[in-house]
Amino acid sequence: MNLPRLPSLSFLRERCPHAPFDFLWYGAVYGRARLLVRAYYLFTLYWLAAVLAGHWAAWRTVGAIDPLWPIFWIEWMEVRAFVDGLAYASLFFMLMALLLPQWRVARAGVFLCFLFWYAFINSFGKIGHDGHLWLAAGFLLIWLPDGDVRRSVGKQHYYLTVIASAQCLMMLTYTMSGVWKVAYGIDQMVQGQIGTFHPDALATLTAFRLLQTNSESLLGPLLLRYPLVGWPMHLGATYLETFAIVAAFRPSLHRLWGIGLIFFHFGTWLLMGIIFQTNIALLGLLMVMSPFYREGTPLRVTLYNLPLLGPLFALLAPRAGRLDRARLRPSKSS
Amino acid sequence: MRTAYRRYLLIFLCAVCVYAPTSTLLWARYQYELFPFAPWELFSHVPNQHHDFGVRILAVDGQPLDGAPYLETLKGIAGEPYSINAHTTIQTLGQHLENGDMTSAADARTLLEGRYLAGAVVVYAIYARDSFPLARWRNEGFIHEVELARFSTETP
Repeated sequence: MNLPRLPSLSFLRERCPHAPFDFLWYGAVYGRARLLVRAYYLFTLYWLAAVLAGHWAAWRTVGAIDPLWPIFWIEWMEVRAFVDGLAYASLFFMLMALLLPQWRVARAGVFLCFLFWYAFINSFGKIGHDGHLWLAAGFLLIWLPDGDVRRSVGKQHYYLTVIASAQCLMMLTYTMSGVWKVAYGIDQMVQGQIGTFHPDALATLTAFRLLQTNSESLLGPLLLRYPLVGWPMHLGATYLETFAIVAAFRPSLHRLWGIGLIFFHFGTWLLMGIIFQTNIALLGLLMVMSPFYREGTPLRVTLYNLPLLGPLFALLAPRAGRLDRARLRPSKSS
Repeated sequence: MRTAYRRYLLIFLCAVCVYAPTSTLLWARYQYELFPFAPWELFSHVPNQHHDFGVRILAVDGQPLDGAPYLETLKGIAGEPYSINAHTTIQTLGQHLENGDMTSAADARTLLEGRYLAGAVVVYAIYARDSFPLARWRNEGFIHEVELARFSTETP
């Protein structure tokens, strides 16, 4: 993406010729990050419209509810009033955040509205996990710096730190999920059971999930007929999840991990019928469209940076790796 | 600005350092999830021999049902037969019944009947059951089933 550079910051290059990073690069990265934040609020508004279109009428007449703590106060009012009031407040704040993302009150309002909706949706006996990361990202975005960020490298650094921390938090949750899988996998392997690393693991999990609710999925029956097909997929997903936090600190891996985890979510949908829509959107925004990913990064550099496997690639072609790393280093003259 | 930046970094790092171990320990020790701090233990344990609970519908509005089918198979009769929320509520109810915790079981029963069995007088039974998922998928059925309790939505 070619974004205009900021001429007002060019003096920094002369003043700090030995800086470990290129100040002007900040301007371009910040431009992408700002677009990303606006896209986050656009998608939040879209989510609200889609959810309300499908459920508003049903939610207004809900009978039994077991409210989670953020909406404990729903017991003192009618559910209809709660749903209507929250819908209007959400519309206002989400529109405001889309139009004026620099307004902290709007960003905080969006976070609170989403928290209340999400708590309400999960107050019927089960806590789902589709919106957790969207909510967490919304919380971190509240702390974006105020004022004119474009003219201050310090504020741009702060802005980008918030984005980077959102990426880290999202990838941390995937790593937590991966570590659970590895830990249980080792435990079950020691006990001689079918576990994460067993060829039948994904087929067993798919059968278990589909039988829970007697539901169907597009590819579940096929996998259950040929369980071995799921083995590399499950091992690959465990690898992606476990090392997600490492990928967060290696910008050349952002796009690969984002696409990989989106495929993982599509896989769980096609096999088990579980869809994490907001996670897919957030992975697209924060990782596939990562502002820190440098366009034109050679595939070899991405491969060298792979956790565990990267050193093997580097051993196979060490000279090419050095050349690519030199090419990617920010140049002081460009 | 610098102060705000440092404060943000400090809050973020502290939050992450508290969140990850706390949510993991709470789940590992008590199987407890404090919304919205998820432990992310999702499909990590592969169920070999699986113990769970199910609801068999015995009669609807005084009419007995042939074979007392499970709730999840009752498309057209139950409101949300494929609902994972209903399934989880049944697991909560079954677990409390098995542990003899009747107060918590009553809460779960209220939610189950009010949300997933509303609109008719339903007589139903909670079953504890054991199965191998892959074998059950191949129609080999349950290893065994035990009735835990029998309720009617008409009587508290």
